[in-house]
Amino acid sequence: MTWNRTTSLTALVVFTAAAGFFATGLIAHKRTEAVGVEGASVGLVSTTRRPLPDYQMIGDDMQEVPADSLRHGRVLLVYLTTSCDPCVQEAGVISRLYRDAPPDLSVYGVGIEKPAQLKTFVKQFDLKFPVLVDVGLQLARAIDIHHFPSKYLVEDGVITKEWRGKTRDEAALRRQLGLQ
Amino acid sequence: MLSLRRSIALLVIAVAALLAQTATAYCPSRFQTAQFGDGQPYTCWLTGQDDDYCYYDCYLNA
Repeated sequence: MTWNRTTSLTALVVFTAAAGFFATGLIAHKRTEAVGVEGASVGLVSTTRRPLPDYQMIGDDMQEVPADSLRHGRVLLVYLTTSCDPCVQEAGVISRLYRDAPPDLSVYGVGIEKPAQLKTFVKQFDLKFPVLVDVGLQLARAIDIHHFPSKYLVEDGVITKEWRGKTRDEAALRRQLGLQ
Repeated sequence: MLSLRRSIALLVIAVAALLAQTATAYCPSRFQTAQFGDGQPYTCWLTGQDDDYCYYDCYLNA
Protein backbone atom coordinates (compact mmCIF):
# COMPACT_ATOMS: atom_id res chain seq x y z
CA MET A 1 0.00 0.00 0.00
CA THR A 2 1.29 3.44 -0.83
CA TRP A 3 1.62 5.67 2.25
CA ASN A 4 0.26 8.81 0.69
CA ARG A 5 -1.38 11.97 2.10
CA THR A 6 -4.89 10.50 2.24
CA THR A 7 -3.69 7.50 4.21
CA SER A 8 -1.89 9.80 6.65
CA LEU A 9 -5.05 11.85 7.17
CA THR A 10 -7.12 8.73 7.68
CA ALA A 11 -4.65 7.51 10.28
CA LEU A 12 -4.79 10.92 11.96
CA VAL A 13 -8.59 10.81 12.13
CA VAL A 14 -8.58 7.33 13.64
CA PHE A 15 -5.85 8.28 16.12
CA THR A 16 -7.61 11.52 17.17
CA ALA A 17 -10.94 9.79 17.68
CA ALA A 18 -9.34 6.94 19.64
CA ALA A 19 -7.30 9.32 21.81
CA GLY A 20 -10.33 11.49 22.46
CA PHE A 21 -12.58 8.65 23.53
CA PHE A 22 -9.80 7.13 25.62
CA ALA A 23 -9.15 10.46 27.37
CA THR A 24 -12.82 11.21 28.08
CA GLY A 25 -13.30 7.65 29.25
CA LEU A 26 -10.51 8.16 31.75
CA ILE A 27 -12.09 11.43 32.94
CA ALA A 28 -15.46 9.74 33.41
CA HIS A 29 -13.81 6.87 35.28
CA LYS A 30 -11.96 9.28 37.56
CA ARG A 31 -15.17 11.23 38.28
CA THR A 32 -17.01 8.07 39.20
CA GLU A 33 -14.24 7.16 41.60
CA ALA A 34 -14.41 10.61 43.16
CA VAL A 35 -17.86 10.00 44.67
CA GLY A 36 -17.57 9.22 48.35
CA VAL A 37 -15.70 10.74 51.28
CA GLU A 38 -12.15 9.46 50.82
CA GLY A 39 -10.31 11.77 48.45
CA ALA A 40 -13.58 13.00 46.96
CA SER A 41 -13.68 16.11 44.79
CA VAL A 42 -17.47 16.28 44.46
CA GLY A 43 -20.39 15.02 46.55
CA LEU A 44 -19.90 14.34 50.26
CA VAL A 45 -16.28 15.34 50.81
CA SER A 46 -15.95 15.59 54.57
CA THR A 47 -17.51 14.29 57.77
CA THR A 48 -14.88 15.93 59.96
CA ARG A 49 -16.48 17.71 62.91
CA ARG A 50 -15.52 21.35 63.45
CA PRO A 51 -17.19 24.27 65.21
CA LEU A 52 -19.10 26.74 63.08
CA PRO A 53 -16.93 29.90 63.07
CA ASP A 54 -18.31 33.36 63.79
CA TYR A 55 -20.39 34.84 60.99
CA GLN A 56 -22.31 37.93 59.97
CA MET A 57 -25.37 37.19 57.87
CA ILE A 58 -28.17 39.33 56.54
CA GLY A 59 -31.59 37.98 55.63
CA ASP A 60 -33.69 38.85 52.60
CA ASP A 61 -35.40 41.52 54.74
CA MET A 62 -31.94 43.16 55.08
CA GLN A 63 -32.02 42.47 58.81
CA GLU A 64 -28.99 40.94 60.45
CA VAL A 65 -29.40 37.27 61.37
CA PRO A 66 -28.96 36.87 65.15
CA ALA A 67 -25.46 35.68 66.03
CA ASP A 68 -26.38 32.24 67.34
CA SER A 69 -29.45 31.41 65.28
CA LEU A 70 -27.53 29.03 62.99
CA ARG A 71 -26.00 27.21 65.97
CA HIS A 72 -29.19 25.61 67.21
CA GLY A 73 -30.55 22.30 65.93
CA ARG A 74 -29.80 21.00 62.44
CA VAL A 75 -29.08 23.60 59.78
CA LEU A 76 -28.20 23.01 56.14
CA LEU A 77 -26.28 25.90 54.58
CA VAL A 78 -26.12 25.92 50.78
CA TYR A 79 -23.60 28.34 49.28
CA LEU A 80 -24.64 29.55 45.83
CA THR A 81 -23.60 32.19 43.34
CA THR A 82 -26.02 33.72 40.88
CA SER A 83 -25.77 32.82 37.18
CA CYS A 84 -23.67 29.72 37.89
CA ASP A 85 -25.30 26.81 36.05
CA PRO A 86 -24.53 24.14 38.66
CA CYS A 87 -25.89 26.52 41.34
CA VAL A 88 -29.14 26.98 39.43
CA GLN A 89 -29.51 23.21 39.14
CA GLU A 90 -28.68 22.83 42.83
CA ALA A 91 -31.31 25.42 43.76
CA GLY A 92 -33.97 23.18 42.21
CA VAL A 93 -32.85 20.21 44.29
CA ILE A 94 -32.74 22.29 47.48
CA SER A 95 -36.21 23.73 46.80
CA ARG A 96 -37.61 20.18 46.66
CA LEU A 97 -35.67 19.17 49.75
CA TYR A 98 -36.86 22.28 51.62
CA ARG A 99 -40.47 21.42 50.76
CA ASP A 100 -40.07 17.96 52.30
CA ALA A 101 -37.72 18.88 55.15
CA PRO A 102 -38.77 17.82 58.65
CA PRO A 103 -39.30 20.58 61.26
CA ASP A 104 -35.95 19.84 62.92
CA LEU A 105 -33.98 20.71 59.76
CA SER A 106 -33.57 24.37 58.77
CA VAL A 107 -32.41 25.03 55.20
CA TYR A 108 -30.78 28.27 54.05
CA GLY A 109 -29.19 29.33 50.81
CA VAL A 110 -26.18 31.56 51.37
CA GLY A 111 -24.98 34.08 48.82
CA ILE A 112 -21.91 36.27 48.80
CA GLU A 113 -23.01 38.69 46.10
CA LYS A 114 -24.97 41.89 46.39
CA PRO A 115 -28.52 41.50 47.83
CA ALA A 116 -30.12 42.94 44.70
CA GLN A 117 -28.49 40.21 42.59
CA LEU A 118 -29.60 37.56 45.07
CA LYS A 119 -33.16 38.86 45.10
CA THR A 120 -33.29 38.69 41.31
CA PHE A 121 -31.86 35.16 41.46
CA VAL A 122 -34.45 34.05 44.00
CA LYS A 123 -37.28 35.50 41.95
CA GLN A 124 -36.00 34.33 38.57
CA PHE A 125 -35.62 30.71 39.62
CA ASP A 126 -38.51 30.72 42.12
CA LEU A 127 -36.40 29.49 45.03
CA LYS A 128 -38.54 28.09 47.83
CA PHE A 129 -35.97 28.35 50.61
CA PRO A 130 -34.69 31.49 52.42
CA VAL A 131 -31.43 32.98 51.18
CA LEU A 132 -28.97 34.84 53.42
CA VAL A 133 -26.00 37.04 52.54
CA ASP A 134 -22.60 36.18 54.02
CA VAL A 135 -21.35 39.70 54.71
CA GLY A 136 -17.75 40.27 53.68
CA LEU A 137 -17.38 36.51 53.09
CA GLN A 138 -16.75 36.19 56.82
CA LEU A 139 -17.99 32.61 57.10
CA ALA A 140 -16.97 31.60 53.57
CA ARG A 141 -13.39 32.61 54.29
CA ALA A 142 -13.37 31.05 57.74
CA ILE A 143 -14.39 27.64 56.39
CA ASP A 144 -12.42 28.14 53.16
CA ILE A 145 -15.16 27.90 50.55
CA HIS A 146 -14.07 28.08 46.92
CA HIS A 147 -16.52 25.74 45.21
CA PHE A 148 -20.06 26.84 44.35
CA PRO A 149 -22.38 25.22 45.14
CA SER A 150 -21.14 23.82 48.46
CA LYS A 151 -23.28 22.53 51.31
CA TYR A 152 -22.66 22.30 55.05
CA LEU A 153 -24.70 20.50 57.68
CA VAL A 154 -24.42 22.24 61.05
CA GLU A 155 -25.63 20.32 64.08
CA ASP A 156 -25.84 22.30 67.32
CA GLY A 157 -23.08 24.64 66.21
CA VAL A 158 -20.80 21.95 64.80
CA ILE A 159 -20.21 21.39 61.08
CA THR A 160 -20.62 17.64 60.65
CA LYS A 161 -20.84 17.18 56.87
CA GLU A 162 -19.60 19.02 53.80
CA TRP A 163 -20.67 18.50 50.19
CA ARG A 164 -18.98 20.05 47.18
CA GLY A 165 -20.58 20.63 43.81
CA LYS A 166 -24.14 20.15 42.69
CA THR A 167 -26.15 17.19 43.90
CA ARG A 168 -26.05 14.36 41.38
CA ASP A 169 -27.92 11.86 43.53
CA GLU A 170 -30.79 13.48 45.44
CA ALA A 171 -31.76 10.23 47.14
CA ALA A 172 -28.20 9.83 48.45
CA LEU A 173 -28.25 13.40 49.77
CA ARG A 174 -31.51 12.73 51.59
CA ARG A 175 -30.02 9.59 53.14
CA GLN A 176 -26.90 11.50 54.17
CA LEU A 177 -29.14 14.10 55.82
CA GLY A 178 -31.05 11.36 57.60
CA LEU A 179 -34.28 12.18 55.76
CA GLN A 180 -35.00 8.62 54.58
CA MET B 1 -9.50 4.43 0.80
CA LEU B 2 -11.04 7.66 2.09
CA SER B 3 -10.84 10.76 0.00
CA LEU B 4 -9.14 13.86 1.38
CA ARG B 5 -12.50 15.63 1.75
CA ARG B 6 -14.01 12.73 3.71
CA SER B 7 -10.96 12.52 5.92
CA ILE B 8 -11.21 16.18 6.80
CA ALA B 9 -14.95 15.86 7.46
CA LEU B 10 -14.33 12.91 9.77
CA LEU B 11 -11.61 14.82 11.57
CA VAL B 12 -13.95 17.78 12.12
CA ILE B 13 -16.69 15.48 13.40
CA ALA B 14 -14.28 13.73 15.77
CA VAL B 15 -13.02 17.03 17.20
CA ALA B 16 -16.56 18.41 17.54
CA ALA B 17 -17.70 15.26 19.35
CA LEU B 18 -14.72 15.50 21.67
CA LEU B 19 -15.43 19.14 22.46
CA ALA B 20 -19.12 18.45 23.05
CA GLN B 21 -18.29 15.61 25.43
CA THR B 22 -15.91 17.72 27.49
CA ALA B 23 -17.99 20.91 27.47
CA THR B 24 -18.51 22.33 30.96
CA ALA B 25 -21.24 24.36 32.58
CA TYR B 26 -21.37 28.10 32.43
CA CYS B 27 -19.76 29.96 35.31
CA PRO B 28 -19.45 33.77 35.51
CA SER B 29 -15.79 34.70 35.08
CA ARG B 30 -15.89 37.38 37.74
CA PHE B 31 -18.24 38.95 40.29
CA GLN B 32 -18.15 41.28 43.25
CA THR B 33 -19.29 40.38 46.73
CA ALA B 34 -21.63 42.18 49.10
CA GLN B 35 -20.42 44.94 51.37
CA PHE B 36 -22.21 46.07 54.54
CA GLY B 37 -20.95 47.83 57.62
CA ASP B 38 -17.48 46.54 58.35
CA GLY B 39 -17.74 43.82 55.68
CA GLN B 40 -14.98 44.03 53.12
CA PRO B 41 -15.80 43.94 49.39
CA TYR B 42 -14.10 41.21 47.40
CA THR B 43 -13.81 40.48 43.73
CA CYS B 44 -14.03 36.79 42.87
CA TRP B 45 -12.34 35.32 39.82
CA LEU B 46 -13.21 32.05 38.18
CA THR B 47 -10.23 29.71 38.45
CA GLY B 48 -11.84 26.46 37.39
CA GLN B 49 -15.12 24.85 36.42
CA ASP B 50 -16.72 21.53 35.97
CA ASP B 51 -20.21 20.20 35.27
CA ASP B 52 -20.61 20.09 39.03
CA TYR B 53 -19.30 23.40 40.32
CA CYS B 54 -17.69 26.77 39.70
CA TYR B 55 -14.40 27.35 41.51
CA TYR B 56 -13.51 30.89 42.62
CA ASP B 57 -10.72 32.70 44.38
CA CYS B 58 -11.75 35.98 45.97
CA TYR B 59 -9.45 38.92 46.53
CA LEU B 60 -9.94 41.98 48.69
CA ASN B 61 -10.51 44.99 46.47
CA ALA B 62 -7.57 47.39 46.38
